[in-house]
Amino acid sequence: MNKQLGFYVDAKRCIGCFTCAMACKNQYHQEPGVVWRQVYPLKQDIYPHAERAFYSLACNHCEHPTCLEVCPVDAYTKRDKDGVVVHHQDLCIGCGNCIRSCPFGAPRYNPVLKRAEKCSLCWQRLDAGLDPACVKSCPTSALMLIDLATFDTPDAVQFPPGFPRAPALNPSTRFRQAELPRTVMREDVR
Amino acid sequence: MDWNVVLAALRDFFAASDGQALLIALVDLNQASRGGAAVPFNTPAADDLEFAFNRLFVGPGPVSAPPYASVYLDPDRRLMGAATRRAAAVYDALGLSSPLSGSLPDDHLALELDAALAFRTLAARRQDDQVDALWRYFLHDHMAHWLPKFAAAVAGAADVAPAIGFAVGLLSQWLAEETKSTPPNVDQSGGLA
Amino acid sequence: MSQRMTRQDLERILDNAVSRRSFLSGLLAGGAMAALPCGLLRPHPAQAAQVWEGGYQTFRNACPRNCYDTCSIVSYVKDGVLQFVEGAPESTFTRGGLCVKGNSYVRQVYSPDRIKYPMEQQGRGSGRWKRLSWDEAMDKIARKILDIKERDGSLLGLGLTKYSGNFGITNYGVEGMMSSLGYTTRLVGTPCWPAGIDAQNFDMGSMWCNDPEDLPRARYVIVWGANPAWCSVHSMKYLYAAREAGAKLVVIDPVFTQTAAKADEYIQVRAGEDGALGLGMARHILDLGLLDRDWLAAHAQGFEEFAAYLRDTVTLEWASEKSGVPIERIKAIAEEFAGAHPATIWIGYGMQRHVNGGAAVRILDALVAMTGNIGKPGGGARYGHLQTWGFNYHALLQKQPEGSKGWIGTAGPKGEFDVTGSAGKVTYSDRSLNINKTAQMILETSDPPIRMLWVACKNVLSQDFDRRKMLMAFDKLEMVVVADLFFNQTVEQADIVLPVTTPFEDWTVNASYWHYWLSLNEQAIAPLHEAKSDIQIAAALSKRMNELQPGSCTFATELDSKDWMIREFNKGIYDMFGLTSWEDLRNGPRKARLASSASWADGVFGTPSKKYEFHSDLCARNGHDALPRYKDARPPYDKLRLLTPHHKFALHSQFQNLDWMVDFNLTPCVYMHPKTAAARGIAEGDAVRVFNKQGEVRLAARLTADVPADTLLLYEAWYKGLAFNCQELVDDTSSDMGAYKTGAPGVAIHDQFADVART
Repeated sequence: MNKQLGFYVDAKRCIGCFTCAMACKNQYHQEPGVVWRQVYPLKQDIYPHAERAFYSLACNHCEHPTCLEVCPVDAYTKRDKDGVVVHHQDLCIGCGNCIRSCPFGAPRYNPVLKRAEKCSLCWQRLDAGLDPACVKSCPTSALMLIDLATFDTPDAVQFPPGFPRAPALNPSTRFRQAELPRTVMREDVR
Repeated sequence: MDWNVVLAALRDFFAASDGQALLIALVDLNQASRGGAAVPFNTPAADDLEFAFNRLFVGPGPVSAPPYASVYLDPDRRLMGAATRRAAAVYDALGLSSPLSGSLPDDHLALELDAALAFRTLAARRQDDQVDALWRYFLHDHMAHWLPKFAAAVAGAADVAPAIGFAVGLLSQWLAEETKSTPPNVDQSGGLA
Repeated sequence: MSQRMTRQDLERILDNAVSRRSFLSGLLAGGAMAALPCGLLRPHPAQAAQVWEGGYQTFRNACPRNCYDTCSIVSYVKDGVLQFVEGAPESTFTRGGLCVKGNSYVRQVYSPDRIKYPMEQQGRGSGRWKRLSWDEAMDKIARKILDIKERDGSLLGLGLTKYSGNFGITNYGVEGMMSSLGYTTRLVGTPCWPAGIDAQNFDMGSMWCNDPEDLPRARYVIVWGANPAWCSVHSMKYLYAAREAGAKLVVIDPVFTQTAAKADEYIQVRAGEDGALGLGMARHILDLGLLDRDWLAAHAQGFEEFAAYLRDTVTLEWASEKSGVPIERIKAIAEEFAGAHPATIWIGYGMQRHVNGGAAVRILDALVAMTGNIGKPGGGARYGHLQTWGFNYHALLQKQPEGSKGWIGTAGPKGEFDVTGSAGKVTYSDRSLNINKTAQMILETSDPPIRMLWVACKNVLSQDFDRRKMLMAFDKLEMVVVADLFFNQTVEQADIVLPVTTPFEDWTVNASYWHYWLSLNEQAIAPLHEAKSDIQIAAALSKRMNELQPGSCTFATELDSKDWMIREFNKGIYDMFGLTSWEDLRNGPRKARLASSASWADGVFGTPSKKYEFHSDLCARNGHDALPRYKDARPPYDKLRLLTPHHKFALHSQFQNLDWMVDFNLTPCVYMHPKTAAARGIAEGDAVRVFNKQGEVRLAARLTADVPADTLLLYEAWYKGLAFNCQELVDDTSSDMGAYKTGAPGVAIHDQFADVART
């Protein structure tokens, strides 16, 4: 398999601290309301404690990215060397096709610049031999950069509950699910 | 209307740090605009004018109309942004700089008005095509991009003192006339920038 | 005539420092630059332009905001502008990453909302602000100070309240400034952790925790009343490592926190009854003989007395009834804890914010001690430490002017970081008042009253307790001076506001009270607008004071911040960190060289007996029980318990106000159990009011079983532009301990009660 970079979202280690989300803002200074990486709390039917388990999601750098396929001006390219799907800000005309077609909500609309934008896996940092800003910043190593060609963590899944199931796109993100502690609740108040 | 006098007074107005300085600049503005389309105003008390000015432009709380280009031109509504660097680069190209560069953002309205004055003077001396081109850039591709948004922010604020409305109105009037009389540079595609 | 240039051509030329000078050549040749009508811009020589092309300059900084992690920061600056920040890779604790708050620092620096200039409000709360020059501001303040001195014959009418907004070592220059003016009134103590500090001092002679980086060596970890997943994110990796090595992680907390979700076992305890639970465990450990008798014999005193108390008074039934924890679990956890070697308890600050908080900490200390876990790597009763804070305190230690009059009587410590050694009988001293009852102190203090309040590193009106009383107290003050970054609820009530610098705009040095790293804080950028650091403000004030009345202030009238940072270093610091010079820290933060990762490894304690004191006469002399006996919780004064702990998105009043943070955390909410809500007809998202004898707060309701049915949970923080303020609901009832080591008792923040209703 060719090198395909992606994110490993370890919800077992993730504490929902939003450091990754803010690391992205710290790097790129997106305007208010434009968020490339968001940290989503899992609904209680997936994890029974509200706001205690999360998926940190940006772009999934799919094998068959729908954004690229629907873009009329080739503002998306998928790099041969590592599979990163790059959005070319200067070519974008803000038509919204990618925003409408991506089931993961990765491309966001920037109302100030009137164009789409999304996580491009910090490709400039990658080319300089650095980790993406979000990965570097994570205090618990819950967000990792992986190469699907060599990644073989046994309990990793591609479509955990709560994550849109879009196998045709073949997203490159992998997940480990959050765990539950044994809980001992008070006897005097139930 | 002698726009150079107006610009100098507007610069002094937005650079003012107290009510007295504001009033002096206002008087200059009023005089200079006589005969122009500007709406006259009743001279307010210095203190009241200062309170109103600070509430709108200075602080200490968040203000409706921060007078810095980057707040309107940089996507993330910040100080010391790309627009600030551009302004500083333009001054530098003229061999000028703000003595407070690094602390007072270079794209503060007062500094930009000061630069506009310099450019107009140089243009009048008809010395240099390159400098003319630089002025047209600064005017059309920088000032004309943010000053209307700044004026809109002022217009949208609550309780704007008439004197301030007057000053901002003059600023907008100047911009409108200057951009009309000074044509822009072409852009790469050959059309007007 | 040259070709007409396009916008793109011009931008290309402008972006390069060399090419953009090409404009000048024509101008200079023609003398066109003569007599330009500029009033602000000046000509400068060609070489003066400071531009860094291409790469970044990096600087070393540190986050001084008083969380456990005190991150070492690397700042990336380009063209004199801070572009982004990262965690220092050299610190194994920071490990290259900050947190959601630290990553928003660039926004804090360049927010258009920052206070830019000294300003004066004409009529407190009126919103009518005038700009002052620094000279004018210092003049007004100096004259007021001299006026007070004239009227009262002392400066006891000048008060200072300061706490955790900035713990850079040179920031103690604010206290130093006060000393350099004379004997003043100080709000002393700490709202944060004083009860536990006293408890650890009584038990062991000092608050001194293991190196948190040795947590992976623990075989059993109880995180008790702490939430590191929110408040010490960098510690989580060590907890995970301990688990991966086979340790069991237990979280004991009144609510199911984020840390609880990561544990092996979460135990819900009734808030304020941690002591009962701990005593139940101790009784069981004693019954099963799971003690370290050898260690107790060699290193402890008073254990037999404590054991007798356990046998006579403590039963598992009682402990279960009080704490709500099933007997079977109390026994199981006790056995597991005592059977693991080493075992450790992370004692949280939330745990001791109760009227019996100090007593509870003594009990938890006892659990760790009786099982032989003190002085063991991976073990310990972990609370905090001040081992790496042995600086010179040059900024802090200033002398009062000759002939200053002040308070007569015994003086106590001024806080947990007080190194002035002023405890004991002196001729004159500062007047020390309880910072945790600031409103009450201002209202009732007289002879002389507090006439003027200087506020630094604190958002009094949002963070101090009993807000309604605080507003009344402010009414009594003649002048309020606030040094701050943003227009918060305290600045709203100020007479004069002074703009301060962010950590990136001046020099200092930073230590941590949890880990053992030392960080340099370099000046990375020029101060924005007219901001000054606290010591620069002090120098400016001193200058004006001495102009008006020579000798009235001993603080330097001019100083170099970098020089003052250097002056904080001494041989002790150099030796501890293996430095030859402070400049070594430019290469990165350094870790203290520790003989052992464990505190008290040699078994010699700092107590009068040099032993661990289950029986502490010192504790008794300070008005408490000599033994770690049970102390009653505060009886409820309303239907539901109200907890107001820290949120992950803010450090008290800092960061939540930034729009970057608003992208992730919009509005304050109150969390309650579905049963509590159902009983009041409240649905998810409903607008509700939380109310008690103090006041009320209006916000949105969130339903969750993570909060017990007898509890309401809302988070403290200051939100920009929102009237939300949890201090409307919190009274200033003291915790039991704190006065011994920090000058004042703590406050029972989590012993508050309220009810809730739909609006």
